[in-house]
Amino acid sequence: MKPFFVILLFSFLILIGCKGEEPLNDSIIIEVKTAGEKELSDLINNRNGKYLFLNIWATWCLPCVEEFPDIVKLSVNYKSDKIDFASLSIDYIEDKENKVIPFLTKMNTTFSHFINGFKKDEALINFINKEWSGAVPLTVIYDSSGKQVAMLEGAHTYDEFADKLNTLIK
Amino acid sequence: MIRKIAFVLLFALLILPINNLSAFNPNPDELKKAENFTLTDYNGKGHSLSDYKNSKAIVVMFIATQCPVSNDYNTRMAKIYEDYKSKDIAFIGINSNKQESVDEIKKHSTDNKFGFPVLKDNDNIIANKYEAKVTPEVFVLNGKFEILYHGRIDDSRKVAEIEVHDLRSTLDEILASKKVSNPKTKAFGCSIKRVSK
Repeated sequence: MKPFFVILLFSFLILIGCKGEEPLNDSIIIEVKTAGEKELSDLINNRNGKYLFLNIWATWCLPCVEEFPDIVKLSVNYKSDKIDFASLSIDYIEDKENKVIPFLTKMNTTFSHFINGFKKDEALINFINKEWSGAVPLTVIYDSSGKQVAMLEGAHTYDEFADKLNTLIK
Repeated sequence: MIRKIAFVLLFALLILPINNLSAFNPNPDELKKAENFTLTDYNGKGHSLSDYKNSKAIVVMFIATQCPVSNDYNTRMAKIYEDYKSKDIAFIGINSNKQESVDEIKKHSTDNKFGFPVLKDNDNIIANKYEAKVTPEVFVLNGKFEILYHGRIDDSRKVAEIEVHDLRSTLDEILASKKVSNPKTKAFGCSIKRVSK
């Protein structure tokens, strides 16, 4: 009789354990690395024959947040092509855990994510492109040699991004 | 005589390019002129840039009610205005965001105790003319509407981390009749939400 109760109790405990609040995407663990000049240079220059699609965004930027699902969709649809996707958040580093990671988790992304580690905004702006006004979102595309081949300021649609990528990788 | 003529001609040839060069400015931003405009504030009162042409400088600030970056600067903008209004510096706020209404601008200005007028730029016409991209974004003009400074208010959203007070430094230099030492700066900001073309 005793083993029966032990099994029953064990099964009950397993059931209780399974009823806990499930995380949004428990299969995806989002890692957001801090990117200063060295890390960004490495990302841009170590291409392994692939293009880089880098989206610069912030959780406080509504057009960025609205545009992001299309970038996720692009990253899935262009996975077989020679393009790496990455995002660079310009949120404060202290907002990484409570704002940036929850948003990226919700977006169900599988590409690389970074957060701005430059001490001053202007240093990052000029590092990316001296012509950039600082308005976000910004998307920059680098070719396989690390040369910037496109700078798209402001929010863009899936089709606009796709057209650009198709032109570049044809 | 021929020698003299030749000497004068040679001298003229040498001088001519120098004279032409003096009209050429290596930094086009310095001579870039802003256009006059007339916009209404949230009480319906019209304001033209030319109303302020006798000021020592005119500060035109593109701002927003909903942008967290612009809102980080509300207290700073109000304080800069208070510190410089008696020094013959004029301040104008412009809201060019399509989704931010006049009522919203009025509430935002009142809540943040802005002493300067905030004008509604319907259809972002002035933002387009000034090529303003983000909020906050500042232009400092002289009485001829020449752009003396274009860029950020200071170098950090976080007050504790400010190292350079760009707008204040610019205004201090103008008041001291000095040349603006850093006429162009950049910072992150929210894109101005423009009407669809």
